[in-house]
Amino acid sequence: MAHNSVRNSILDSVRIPTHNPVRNRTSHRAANIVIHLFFLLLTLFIVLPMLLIAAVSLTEEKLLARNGYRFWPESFSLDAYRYIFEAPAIVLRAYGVTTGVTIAGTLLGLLFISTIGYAISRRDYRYSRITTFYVFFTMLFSGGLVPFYILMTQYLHVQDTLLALILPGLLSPFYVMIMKGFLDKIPPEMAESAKIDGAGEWTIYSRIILPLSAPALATIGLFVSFILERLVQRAAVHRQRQADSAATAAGPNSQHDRLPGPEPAIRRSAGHRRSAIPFAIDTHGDGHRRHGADHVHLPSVPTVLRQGIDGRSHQRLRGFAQAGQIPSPDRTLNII
Amino acid sequence: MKQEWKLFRKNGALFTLSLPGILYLFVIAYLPMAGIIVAFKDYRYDLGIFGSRWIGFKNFEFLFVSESAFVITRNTVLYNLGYMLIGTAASLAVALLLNEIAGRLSRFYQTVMFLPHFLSWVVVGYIAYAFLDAQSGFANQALQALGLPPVDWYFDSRYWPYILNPVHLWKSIGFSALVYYAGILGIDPDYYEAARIDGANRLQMALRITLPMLLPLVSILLIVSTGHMFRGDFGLHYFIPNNSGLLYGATDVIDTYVYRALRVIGDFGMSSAVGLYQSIVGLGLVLAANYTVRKLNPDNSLW
Repeated sequence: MAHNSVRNSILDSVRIPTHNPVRNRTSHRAANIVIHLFFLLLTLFIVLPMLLIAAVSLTEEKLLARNGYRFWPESFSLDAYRYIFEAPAIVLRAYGVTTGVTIAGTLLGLLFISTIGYAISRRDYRYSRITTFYVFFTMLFSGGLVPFYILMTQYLHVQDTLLALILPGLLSPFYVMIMKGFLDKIPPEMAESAKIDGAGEWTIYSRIILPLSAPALATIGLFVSFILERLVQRAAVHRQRQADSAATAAGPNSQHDRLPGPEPAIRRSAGHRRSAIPFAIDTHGDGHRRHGADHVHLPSVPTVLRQGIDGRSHQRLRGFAQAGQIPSPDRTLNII
Repeated sequence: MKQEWKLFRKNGALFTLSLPGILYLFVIAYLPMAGIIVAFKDYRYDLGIFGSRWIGFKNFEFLFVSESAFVITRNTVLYNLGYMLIGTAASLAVALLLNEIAGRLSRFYQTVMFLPHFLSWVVVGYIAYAFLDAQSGFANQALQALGLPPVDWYFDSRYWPYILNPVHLWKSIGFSALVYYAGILGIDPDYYEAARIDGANRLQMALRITLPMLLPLVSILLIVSTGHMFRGDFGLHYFIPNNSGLLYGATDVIDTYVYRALRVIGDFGMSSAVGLYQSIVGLGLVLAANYTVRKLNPDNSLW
């Protein structure tokens, strides 16, 4: 909260006065009220159906038959939940399967997506264009459900196995395109100078590209699996914190190091417009662009697509590359 | 040839890197494309894809001669148009409004709107049932409280376009609004600062800066969704109407029809004929949409 007020007061002082500040402010406030009213209604529209089903789950069976489904049951009962947890093995097993499938699927999917995405993002790769087409075409045309079903059951024989759950969704061409869009922003000098120093493609991919693309991987991983969302978010927050301290340390105003936590106002005043990575989980509960750095609440396609690695870290990376100095894996990890 | 081999060797490492993805797509996406020939065969399990008899266009005939062909195609296209237009307009509006407010509440709204995205259609089907069940449903209770006659929702197809559209919006608005909102956050703040110096108000900035800057994103997403114009949302159209036979006229889409054909009749040939039909029409629509957009403004096209 303290950060917010500091930030807002700084922003207020630099805000350019408009023609009629008094009139403007009242209309501003009125508009805000209308907008919040709109969102209040929208929130009700979204939440009420879910509340109804929650209320039903807490209602006694007898009452349901007599009164029907109501938002506020006459008397509460946990019978339904008791029923489920009487045999917890089933529920636990189900959750185990869900989690296992999601984790395995996400990791494998990310590996596929990032490797092929990296290959086609390299402009000096001879088969970049044809591979792009190869990937993209599957988005436009598909054999349909039946041939796919026949393939899975008659030829791969994965029916009734967990593989049947994991296999179909591992690599979506859409995510490969997002990955490529992101990797396009990484300066090619990085790979080149690594190569001069004798690094092979696999080393470049695993030591430089993979750590650098953590934000994109997090985004795509989030899309691939919503179950893992919280874990990924926490990881992203952690990385954002590291990024902030690294960015501040590398920046011109390193005295801000001593201030705790990421501070958009201070970063802004130090001339930092964007966060070090293109998106980050918003740690302040305020991701508003005009009030601070570019924190997006949830990692998103277009942000990664559009911004890639933003200009500043771009320059920093370029600086490394020009100096012929490849950041060590540890160093790179710190930046991200 | 030798030259090419040399070049391949030089690019070999990157090729190896992309190999898992290539192989995966080959198996999962390209092999089934070869399976399209099932659409022209009298598929039999024991004979397999290649052993089955060729029967030409019989499978297509079966679909297009059936009375349902017109109804399911019309339903699929009209519903998808509805989802596309309502969804895009609503989520754009929400994204623009989200952009106008700051602070904790904005984050709260986003989270709430995103919640339905996590629910599966099966769960949403139960939620709909809690509202629409003839005896105990909340909708009929409310109608009776107002002194109106109850409605047999699952037996009367008239109401379903007005049920399915809001349900789709309910589930999807959070995600698509967030996509647009993220697009808005990607717009360079300098534009707004310049506009503010020139004395522009919020409405002007929203309409003259934000909206035009979002246009490429909107048009790309629209082009992609035209490709799915002939693909019905199976979960939505199967679970929300509870697979009620009386509603097929208003709720049945190509995908639910094919699913029933496959399950009830077990006709692989016909089902894959429908799949092929959807794929080809979808491809054509994407190409046409992209061509049109590229003619209008090359920046907004997909490729």
